[in-house]
Amino acid sequence: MAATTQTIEQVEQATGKYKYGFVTDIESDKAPKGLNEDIVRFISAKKDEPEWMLEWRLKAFRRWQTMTAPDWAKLDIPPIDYQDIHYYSAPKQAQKLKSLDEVDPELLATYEKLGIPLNEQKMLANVAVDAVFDSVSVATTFREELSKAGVIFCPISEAIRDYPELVQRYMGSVIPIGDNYFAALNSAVFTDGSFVYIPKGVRCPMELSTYFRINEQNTGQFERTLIIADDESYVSYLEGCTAPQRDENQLHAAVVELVAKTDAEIKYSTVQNWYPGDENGKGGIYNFVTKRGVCRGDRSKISWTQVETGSAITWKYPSCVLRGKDSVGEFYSVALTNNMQQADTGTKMIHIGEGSRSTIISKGISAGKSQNCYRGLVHMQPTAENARNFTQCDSLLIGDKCGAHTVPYIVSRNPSAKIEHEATTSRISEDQLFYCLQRGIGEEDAVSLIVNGFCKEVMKELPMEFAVEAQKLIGISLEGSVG
Amino acid sequence: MPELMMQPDLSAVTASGGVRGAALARWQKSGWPGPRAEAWRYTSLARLSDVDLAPATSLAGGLTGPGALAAAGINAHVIRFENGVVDPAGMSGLPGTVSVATLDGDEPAMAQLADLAPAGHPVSDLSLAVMNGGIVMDVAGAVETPVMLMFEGDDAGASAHPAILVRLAPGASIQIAEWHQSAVGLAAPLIGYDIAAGARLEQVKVQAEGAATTHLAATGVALGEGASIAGFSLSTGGALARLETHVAMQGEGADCQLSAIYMGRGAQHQDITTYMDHAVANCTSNQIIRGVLDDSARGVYQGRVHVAPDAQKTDGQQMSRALLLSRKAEADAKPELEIYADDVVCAHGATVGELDATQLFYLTSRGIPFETARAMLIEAFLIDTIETIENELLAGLLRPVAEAWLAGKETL
Repeated sequence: MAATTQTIEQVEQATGKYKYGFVTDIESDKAPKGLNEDIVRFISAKKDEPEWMLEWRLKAFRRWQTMTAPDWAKLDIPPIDYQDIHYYSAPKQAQKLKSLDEVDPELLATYEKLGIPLNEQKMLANVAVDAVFDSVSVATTFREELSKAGVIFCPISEAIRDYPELVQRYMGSVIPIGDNYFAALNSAVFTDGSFVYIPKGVRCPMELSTYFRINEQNTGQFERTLIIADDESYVSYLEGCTAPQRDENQLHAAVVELVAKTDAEIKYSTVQNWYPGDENGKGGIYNFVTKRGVCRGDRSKISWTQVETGSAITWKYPSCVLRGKDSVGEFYSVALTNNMQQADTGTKMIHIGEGSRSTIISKGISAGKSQNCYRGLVHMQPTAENARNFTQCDSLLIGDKCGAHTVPYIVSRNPSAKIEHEATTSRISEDQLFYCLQRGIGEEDAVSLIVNGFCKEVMKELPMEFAVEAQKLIGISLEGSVG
Repeated sequence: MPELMMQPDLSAVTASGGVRGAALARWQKSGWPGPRAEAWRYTSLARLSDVDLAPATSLAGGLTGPGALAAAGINAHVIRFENGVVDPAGMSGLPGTVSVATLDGDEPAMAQLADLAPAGHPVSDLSLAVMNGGIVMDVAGAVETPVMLMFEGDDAGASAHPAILVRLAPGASIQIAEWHQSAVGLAAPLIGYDIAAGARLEQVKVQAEGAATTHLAATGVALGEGASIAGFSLSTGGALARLETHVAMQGEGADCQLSAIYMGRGAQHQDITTYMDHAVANCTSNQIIRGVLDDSARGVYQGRVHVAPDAQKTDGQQMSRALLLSRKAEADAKPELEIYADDVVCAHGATVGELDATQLFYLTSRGIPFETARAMLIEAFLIDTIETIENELLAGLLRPVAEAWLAGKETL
């Protein structure tokens, strides 16, 4: 393949000296297209990583080469040319705009509908903010407060340098490099992400949000997050935001690993609103994410809450491995698809510990010509004495061109374990709609109201400021789906 | 995968071409499903790999089938298959408007059976290719006397491949009982029920094969406008059993009631797999599945309800419950909904658990011995399923089998 040869040559030009012990700066801020061992070395060198990290990446890359992309999901994924992607580009500092007047009015209208505060609007739209609300100073204040509590919250690249023993111990311990095709790819080429460590007995003094993370912008398409909650600690982590996010990279393959030790609790909330493509299915992000948490200690708890409205294709199964005695796993999900979007999402609850409990509440909403699939596994291992699971999956269809699917997998190998699963599929009833309309509520608002009611059980799990915006987001995402 | 499996002389089938030749060609291409096949993720056919079986080609003769026992009390017309080969005696003296002919050689009928057979199921192709004769049964009107298809066999080194096509003419009705109780190595019945507009089939199936037998059944059902089937399977026998049924609702107003009970003990593997295809509007399907598993038995229920884009006003229900009686038993379930129409009511439920300790305590505290109390609760767990069988005659066939299993008897 000529293109590949060319790529290799380019890499050799850029990194050629590496073989001879080259370690200093590399001028180019973008790796050439394509993926091979030299690209992996290039990324590692760019990040100024220690040797062990490079070895880890290379091991993942070699593993990835032997794997094939999963095809069991109910997704129609156009073939992806993995050699036609830039695997590294340095974060670019986009030019600051002077005021909100310079921002695309359509974007501002969306912010308005979402009810995002003015200062946050500025930050999101890359407008220079005044001294009072300087994101860096806010972040610095937060950072001081966090470090007082002993919490480590930093980009993962920093953690690799500053806390190598923690990273080495936990990275890949929940999602091994060869776990699946996309996780292996991420392990080889991840560019950045977050690292959180909550020490023993500490209740994290604030919700950790990517809003206020320094260096957060443009962490790239291969994000990697690692959160460790030590004994008796608590953390709530918020990922993403309701504002529409566009990105030039079509393929996103993130990895999120959570470790909860004895009596620790991690609450992980996501709002995902990546560009879904236009109404004809052109463009849009492919969101292939591996998220998994392990409740390692007794009485530990991991709770996933997600509101997924974006992306052209979503392949995502946030999971819990319930190893500890009486550990708890929760999954609350709203997945909304419209137009030509496709989503295959759900969870896995692996019960190993005695008395472990899990709850799955999944609400799928399909509109337009979209396909929305819940896929979930509940596995009771022989050791899961008296374990419990309750699963409820509800699907709502809006229009007659879309699809709603439910594929639960239930495996029980312990008689004392109890599993309950129920699923329903329905549409917005004409009675409900009529009731709203005759009280003067417009059709779109009525649908938004009914859908939000349908999702309420999940929405109430979101941190408050997120929940308000997410409700509005549901309404906006459904625009144009009725009438 | 298992190359050792199935090595009969099939040159005649290949040479003849036609429907059987095509089925053989498909089988030779696909073979048994491998360990990565999604539809077989819970049921491995690896055990077939070290069995050198050959399809039986003749009647064993002189069998006094234990199944006849059950038939004795019932005034049914019995058609016997021994080692998969039909006994011609059953092909005459048929009740009412029923007629039976040989399937082999009837190309249109074989093509029809190939269409009805569960797509992608190994037995669909294999049994059609290697069958010995087979029958096609036509039902022209309402038939009072039930017909019993009895499958027996004693050749542990042979495989049985009965192929049967049952056609109900518009408005016809009949009760059919399938009784599978053999000791063959592999029982692979392929049965197609084509139920035309307004016709009704009441069907029960008893799977009480021998302890070493592998039972792989492929059943296909097509329902015309306003047609209905009330089917019930009870699976207690075999070392490994998979009862796979595909139902295609092709005419509006069709109704499909399909229930099953599986019971496993020892190292048995029981699998119930269904596929409900709601291809048109206004059809209903309802499935109730119960499983009881003891020792290190494993039970599987996979049910898929597919609602096509224009199949509005569909009502599709699935409810599966499994009871684990032992620490080593395993229950797997995959109830699946695949819905492409919006004006539908579809739901499924699945539970897995053990007997309720408080209920057991309640009974034992009132002086009922533990074993009796346990049996009472298991029976209660199963009873509402058996009660869905409207036909008392057919229900009467099942009860002794279930009771014998509960009493711990290996055979009837």
